Amino acid sequence: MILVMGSSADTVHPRLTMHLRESGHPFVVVDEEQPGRYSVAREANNGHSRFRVEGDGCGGGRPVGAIFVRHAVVRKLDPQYVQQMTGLQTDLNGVLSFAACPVMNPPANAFSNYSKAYQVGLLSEAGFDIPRTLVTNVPERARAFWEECQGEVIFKGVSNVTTLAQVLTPQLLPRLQFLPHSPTLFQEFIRGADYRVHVIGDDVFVTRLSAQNVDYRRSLLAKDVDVKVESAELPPRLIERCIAVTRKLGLILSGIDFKEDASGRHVALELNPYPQFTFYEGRSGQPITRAIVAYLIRHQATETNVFV
Amino acid sequence: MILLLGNSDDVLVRSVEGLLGSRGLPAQTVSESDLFSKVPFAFEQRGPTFGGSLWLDGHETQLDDVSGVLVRLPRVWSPPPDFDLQDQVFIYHECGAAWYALIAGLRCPAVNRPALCGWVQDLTYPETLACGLAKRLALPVAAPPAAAPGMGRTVPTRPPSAAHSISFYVVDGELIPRSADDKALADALALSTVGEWQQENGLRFCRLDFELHGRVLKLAQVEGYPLLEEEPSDVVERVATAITEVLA
Repeated sequence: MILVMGSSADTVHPRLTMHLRESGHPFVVVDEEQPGRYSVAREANNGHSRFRVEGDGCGGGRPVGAIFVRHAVVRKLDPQYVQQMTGLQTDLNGVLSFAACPVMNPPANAFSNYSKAYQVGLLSEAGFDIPRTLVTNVPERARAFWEECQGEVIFKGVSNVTTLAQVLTPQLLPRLQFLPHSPTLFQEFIRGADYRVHVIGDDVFVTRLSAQNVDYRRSLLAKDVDVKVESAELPPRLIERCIAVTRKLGLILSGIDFKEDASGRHVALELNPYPQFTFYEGRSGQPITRAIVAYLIRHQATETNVFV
Repeated sequence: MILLLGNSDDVLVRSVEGLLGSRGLPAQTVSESDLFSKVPFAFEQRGPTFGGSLWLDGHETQLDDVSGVLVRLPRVWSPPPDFDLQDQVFIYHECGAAWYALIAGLRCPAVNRPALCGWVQDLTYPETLACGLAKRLALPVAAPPAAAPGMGRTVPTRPPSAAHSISFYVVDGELIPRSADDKALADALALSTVGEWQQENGLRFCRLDFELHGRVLKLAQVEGYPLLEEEPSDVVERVATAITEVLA
């Protein structure tokens, strides 16, 4: 039995359940958009914990062999709904932290992108080429960095709160005066194509993206600007590093972003522990969801402490 | 220079500050509010090289010149209300993410070097710590306390007061019992195991809470941010001295 936790309003969830249905393998869904429908019970079992998830298709009695999770985000500010969803996700995180079966991905191992500045250090430690990265709340330091990089600098948020990268143009320099209110991450701007590498265990999908904007996600917001998305290849050593760093962080699935400059240098930008792979799959035709389903089925635990 | 990141109403910060002063070691205390809202800083990751500066009272200090750091940040700071709520949330996370990276990048001894799970208030983190140590000590874990409904963060604690509870402070593998009665139990614990576990988890200072029911000893909690406000002065002194040894 595969357990899927997440949001029916997300693009990942319906595609994953569709593929699970096609596989014919038994699965059950906890739809976090309906938090009031579920309860999680925890029992002591010989010094260990046993978890039972009940409600809306979950009876608490069937053993779970593997879990896929991509938590829902709060989409409405109704206090009761927020409290219910937070409460359910807290309980589910307890399950995920102590589950004896594979979890794709354990939330406790997925915090590294909370701080992009910290994560870029981890990527460097893992052997990746990274862009020069400055984090500061000092306008003069940001300006000096911009000059050292000959004006080829992008800026974005330091945390995992969504921000899109922008080029720091001369016109934007006066905005540096606001830095003392909030630090910002500045990076050497690598011109060139974007690559997304999805790692699923030992399987890898490389996708190449070409767009006019610095951050191809910005191009996607503009309806008349096209982004070319296609299956691609990267050097084997780079792929090996992607698999290794994913494993080292305690993850099964990751989406790692790279830039390729004109000289062929591949620069790692960030690692997403909950990648929205459906976009890449939809545009490139790469069977990423199918690989995820295959992994979950193939790696199910024979003994478990989670029951639905 | 030793950085003491914490508030002056924290008895441990005050004690360590006093001990460092008495040894003539340069130290600077920075409150949580000042750290997140007033201290200018800049750090750069350039390949494997990490470096930068921060400015305290107008003086620039290179991060390489920080020789030790005590991290006692209760994480209760929030940006000023002149920003709207969305901006406050954004600034809160940007400051948190930036300072996390800065502290993580320091190569000097840190008490404690924050774990990301702890920094982002992952509610499962305390139990994960307890389970990890209990396994190493071959002890059972007491039932975890039920989380309060809607509780959104882990809260630093004082030692439990129940009659069957026993607590020790641990600094770099050195067990500091809270009373002479607890010393026998402290002597029975595998110190080297605790020390190794501390190194692996970056938790050079913590409090271990046990429950003793008859002859059955269970690990109840690992407190990574022990509050010492109600402890006898000699216990505070011993803890502060041990931490000072790590930092100095």
